[in-house]
Amino acid sequence: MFAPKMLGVCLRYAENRESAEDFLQDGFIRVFEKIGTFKFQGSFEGWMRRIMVNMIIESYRKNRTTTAFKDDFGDDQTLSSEEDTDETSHPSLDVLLQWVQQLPVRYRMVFNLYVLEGLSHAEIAEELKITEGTSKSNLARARRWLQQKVREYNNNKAVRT
Amino acid sequence: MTTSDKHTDQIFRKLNGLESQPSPHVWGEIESRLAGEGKKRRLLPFLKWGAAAVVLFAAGLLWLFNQNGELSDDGQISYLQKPEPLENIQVEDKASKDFAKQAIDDAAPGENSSAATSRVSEDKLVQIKSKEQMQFDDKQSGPSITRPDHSDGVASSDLEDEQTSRPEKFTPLSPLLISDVEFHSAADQMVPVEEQSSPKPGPVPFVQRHSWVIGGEYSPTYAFRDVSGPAAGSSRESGMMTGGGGFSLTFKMDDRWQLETGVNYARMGQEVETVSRSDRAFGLMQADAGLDVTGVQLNNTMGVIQHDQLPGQTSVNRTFSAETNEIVQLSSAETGGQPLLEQSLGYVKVPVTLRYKVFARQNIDVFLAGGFSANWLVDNDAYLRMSGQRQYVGKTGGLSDAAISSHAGIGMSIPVFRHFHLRMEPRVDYFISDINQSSSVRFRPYSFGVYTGVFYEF
Repeated sequence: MFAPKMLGVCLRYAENRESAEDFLQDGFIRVFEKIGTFKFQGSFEGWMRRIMVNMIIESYRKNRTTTAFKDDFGDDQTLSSEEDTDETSHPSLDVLLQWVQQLPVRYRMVFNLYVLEGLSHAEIAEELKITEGTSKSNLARARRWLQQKVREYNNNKAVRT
Repeated sequence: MTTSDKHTDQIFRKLNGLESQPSPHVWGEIESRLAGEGKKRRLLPFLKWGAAAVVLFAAGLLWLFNQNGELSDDGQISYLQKPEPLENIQVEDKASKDFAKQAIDDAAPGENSSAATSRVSEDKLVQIKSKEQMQFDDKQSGPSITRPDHSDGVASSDLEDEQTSRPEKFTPLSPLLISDVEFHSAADQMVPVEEQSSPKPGPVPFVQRHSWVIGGEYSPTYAFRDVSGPAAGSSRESGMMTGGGGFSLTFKMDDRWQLETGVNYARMGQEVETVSRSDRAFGLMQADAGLDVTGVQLNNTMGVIQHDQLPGQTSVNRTFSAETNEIVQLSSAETGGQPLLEQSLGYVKVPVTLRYKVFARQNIDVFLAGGFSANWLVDNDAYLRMSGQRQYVGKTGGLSDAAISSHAGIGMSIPVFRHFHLRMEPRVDYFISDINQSSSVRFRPYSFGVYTGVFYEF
């Protein structure tokens, strides 16, 4: 019953669906292990979500030291500092998800934790074992890249119409 | 943080409502991992059944929460908003309009929202959004939003600007402290933008969950007394092992506070190693039997034991029964042992106890308890133990019929089966009023016990 929502959470942190389902598996195993600690004092869904995100953060911290992540944007994805974002239309959730999944993992982690989970830069720095400056820098770069994607999307849409 | 950044964040926050059905093989792999095939974990044979039970339990919880909403930390019941399925979400244009309407409604709170909206064309709405909505965000960043503590060197205005448009704070994640997680409602974070503009159920006043608990408990106790001075004579007094228990009725005022009363029976008292003197009696009716008569001192700090029945053959020795040192005769063959008096007092108690749940860990609740009891003296027995015999000899005189006592304890409650739970509570009970009226020495009984009982909540 919670699985679709939890997979939605995992998809935001993963680079593809396969990785997201791996996160989901690990997360549910953790949920079963920790079910006895649930205190019935809040949302069970919120509790599960917290476990999922914790597990993803742990996985990120662990793999960061052993795996070479694709850690930057490709050459064809240069960043623009333009500010005139077109605000007239919003892409679909599918498109938004694709863009987030295309972010390099360190940018994706910071973007998710800051924008979607509401953590502060200080909290993100502590969780990901990075500096606050790095967290801010990663967020800014992620935002700029996503803004560029939104602009391109709107421009293409305008051309089609 | 620029307005463009804010707008970007708003767009991508719709991902909080993202849902997707997992592939069927996910469950199979979870099952196999739980069974030990995935991570080569050795699981006990019953774990499969346990996992199945947990899944059923979780499903039951989900059903309950979906039925009743959830209780948030601020004492209000909030409702999980069900995000629309992915395919049903129409983002373009509608979200912008609703977004702008929300801005206008909040920018002019005194006006009827529909009227305010009607005066502005839809084209203007989109333009107004970028300015008005930002003001709205700033205005709404009141005490309800927990601001992270930024102690870095970044300009505070920029940071505050960023924070005010962010969702409710997600407290720091700590994998090692899952049990300490604060459960904030994730509804706001899980709902797409277009759903946030739809009317939410208004805050419902917090309804306390009252319930009643009945049960019974018992404890072996150690009972003794607090006295203001030495006893008369040369007796030596000590505590005694006894017991007590009863039935209780508890009213659970909320999740933490409970008020309890009931009817208990408790035995108090003391043991007195008193002094005696034994003499051979000659010239009496049965002189050839070698009759011994023994005098036992009967006064102590509690009072003087008034004999209404003397043991053995002493009834024929009336000559010796007029003094404080009464005459008893236990057995001609077993004289000379150390006489021991048991002064046992039975009280019917009606306690009023206030309990406070200090914390709960893994369904185990820990309580602090304290209160007062009205005590009525219903049993007053004195026994004489000497030379291996124990005989009733009378009762302690000069005792009050009623007294007040206080009690305190630390209880632990463990769920057993459905509505039943087991409670174990070390408790001390101390009389705050003197029970002896005629003695010059103040006498206040107390007792220690670990009360254990089964309770039923309804």
